[in-house]
Amino acid sequence: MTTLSRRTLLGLGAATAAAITVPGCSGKSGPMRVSWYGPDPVTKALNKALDAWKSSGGAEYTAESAPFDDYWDKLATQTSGNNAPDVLRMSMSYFSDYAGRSALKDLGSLGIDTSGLDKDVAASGVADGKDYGIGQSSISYSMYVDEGAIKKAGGTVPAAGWTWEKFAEFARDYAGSVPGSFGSSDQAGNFQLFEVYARQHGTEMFSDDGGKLLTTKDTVQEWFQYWADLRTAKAAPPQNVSGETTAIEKSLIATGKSPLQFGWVQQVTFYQPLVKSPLAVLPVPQGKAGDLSGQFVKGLDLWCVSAASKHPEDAAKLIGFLLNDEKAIKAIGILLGVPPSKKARDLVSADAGSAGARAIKYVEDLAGKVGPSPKPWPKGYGELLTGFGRIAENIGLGKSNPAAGAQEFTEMAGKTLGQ
Amino acid sequence: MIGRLRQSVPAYLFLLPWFVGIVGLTIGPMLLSLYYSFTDYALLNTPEWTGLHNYTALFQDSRYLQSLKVTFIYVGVSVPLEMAFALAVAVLLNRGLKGLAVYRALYYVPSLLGGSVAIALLWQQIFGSDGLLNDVLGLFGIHGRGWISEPGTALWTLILLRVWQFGAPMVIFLAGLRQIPDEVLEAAEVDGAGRWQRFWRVTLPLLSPVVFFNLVLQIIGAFQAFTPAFVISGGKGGPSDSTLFYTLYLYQQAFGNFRMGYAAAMAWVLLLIIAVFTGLNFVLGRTWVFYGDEGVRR
Repeated sequence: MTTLSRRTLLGLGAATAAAITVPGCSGKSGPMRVSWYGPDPVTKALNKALDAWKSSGGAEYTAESAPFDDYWDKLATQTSGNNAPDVLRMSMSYFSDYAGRSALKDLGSLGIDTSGLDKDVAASGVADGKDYGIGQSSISYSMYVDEGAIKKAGGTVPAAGWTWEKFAEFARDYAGSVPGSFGSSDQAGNFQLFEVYARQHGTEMFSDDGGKLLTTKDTVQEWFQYWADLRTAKAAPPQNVSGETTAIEKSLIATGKSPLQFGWVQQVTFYQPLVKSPLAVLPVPQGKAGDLSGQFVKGLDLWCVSAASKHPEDAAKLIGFLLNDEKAIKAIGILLGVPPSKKARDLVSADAGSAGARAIKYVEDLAGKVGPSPKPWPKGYGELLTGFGRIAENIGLGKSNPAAGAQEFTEMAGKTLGQ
Repeated sequence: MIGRLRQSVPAYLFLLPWFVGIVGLTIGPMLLSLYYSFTDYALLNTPEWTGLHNYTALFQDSRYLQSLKVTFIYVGVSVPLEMAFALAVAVLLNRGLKGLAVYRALYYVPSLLGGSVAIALLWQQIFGSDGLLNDVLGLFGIHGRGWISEPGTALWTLILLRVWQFGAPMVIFLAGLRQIPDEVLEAAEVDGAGRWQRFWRVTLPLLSPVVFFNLVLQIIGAFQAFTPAFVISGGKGGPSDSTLFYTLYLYQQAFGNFRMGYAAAMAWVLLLIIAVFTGLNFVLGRTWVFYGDEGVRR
């Protein structure tokens, strides 16, 4: 029987200790990592674009993706662990949180070719004079209309959109004439649609430094009341129905129970496969007929490089590739939003009659009619976004009312902003 | 002296992996979180000392109080129900059933699956407004509702989910029941005790250490429940915060709102709550747990 010598044991102990501690090190430098959020179609498209990158001789990479909500939990954890992906998709909702905490690299010196990009989109990631990200797309809020269903019910939707009053009138008539359906899905908790509404009331939603809510409590209350009235009139669904129809495939427009849905323009391509007739893309309702100054066109999703990246040059090259290469542009289509360059838009809208082409035309038509772009959304925006939805839900369930809800929201904004 | 040390060196070396683990992965992070709980820490910045501010802010936060309320209802209702159910099934299975091993395994399966995402999704299919339950109710002409999408019933579906996972305590009860000597029960029968009397006066007291063990574990587990609420409410704790479990709110604050310091304070308060309940259990346990050695001086 062999006995273990003390030396062997020591060696064993040291090896075990090393084996335990080594994986904990963050000093490893594997291939470049690329990470993004979005539903399945987005992931498929980006994987295709990355394949093109690989076959054109680009650097090694690994890809990660997650749905929007989960993505942020993951990214926050990775960033605090100094382990963020090299190239990452950033949303304006969280941009200030990350840029303001020095988690993103200044891209200024990395030489990404943005010459073909629309100027405001290319610059949408500039904060405090540094370029923390490059816009992937220009997008605007929009209304999707199932015109087939509306024609069948004997109604029409004006091509230039309508006022909030006309919209409510339509929703009531539609719900009255088609049994078992609603005029519109309930948008009371939609903070991004509310921003358009708030801007129609004369002010930006946030002060320029992002420290204050400029929208008044009255405007918030009016908004909650507007949707409460639609629910009472059965023009919009009750809260328990809304609660079960948030997923795209379960949404009212996908199941034929409502002809109207709201969302960012590119999201029409997520709904279109589920609706038989083509979805028209129209401006959201207005305060004054034909006045689109509440809406804006902006780059709200960015490509960023994390501050801790070990491959900044490759990361920059990849971003340049995704923005400028023809194959990448074709693979991505409008899944990330309306492409940010004329060249890309022409390539993508070649397929006329597709939802993508309609989305591009919508944004091109809007240009010049919309109001000025707001500043990057402030730190804490993500919290307000979910808080607004929760308050709307409480009102919908009768646990709160528009006045109390508006009060709660302005208090929350006071506490969250400017921290 | 040195000779003894030399002898014990290999022992310490063998302990080293465990020691590295407990310090690096348990004690270290715990102490760090205690420190963070006294700071304003946004996950991406350096923590700033704020003293007790996080702790005092907790009790002015209406959503925090709501999460406490939800969690207490959940623990208070689901644990007794789960225990009673587990005990009842264990007693049934203990009556010399054929194929006991099969039944035992079958009933244990939900405990293995219970924490998983798949089961939470299944629950949505059952309790959604066009779900299985409403289909069944429809057969009887009862018009169901969206059990998960209405704040009045959402929490109850989660309680039911926990009761359904009675397998783990049941297996322990079953093992306890098998330890009870047949002579005692026979003696009681000879003395004329009926079935109920035998259960209440003989079986249950002899089983009380096992009941106690299960109770302590289940209470601790229930306070820390997270996955079912997270998956069923899509991480929001809705509708209307009616399933906002303590741990879910903690998670939202830490990873959704970047309030790591606040979340760390919540974690330590939860530890305190669980410690108090466990301590209380042990104190109260003296009055009803029967170890059979009570006459012996220790």
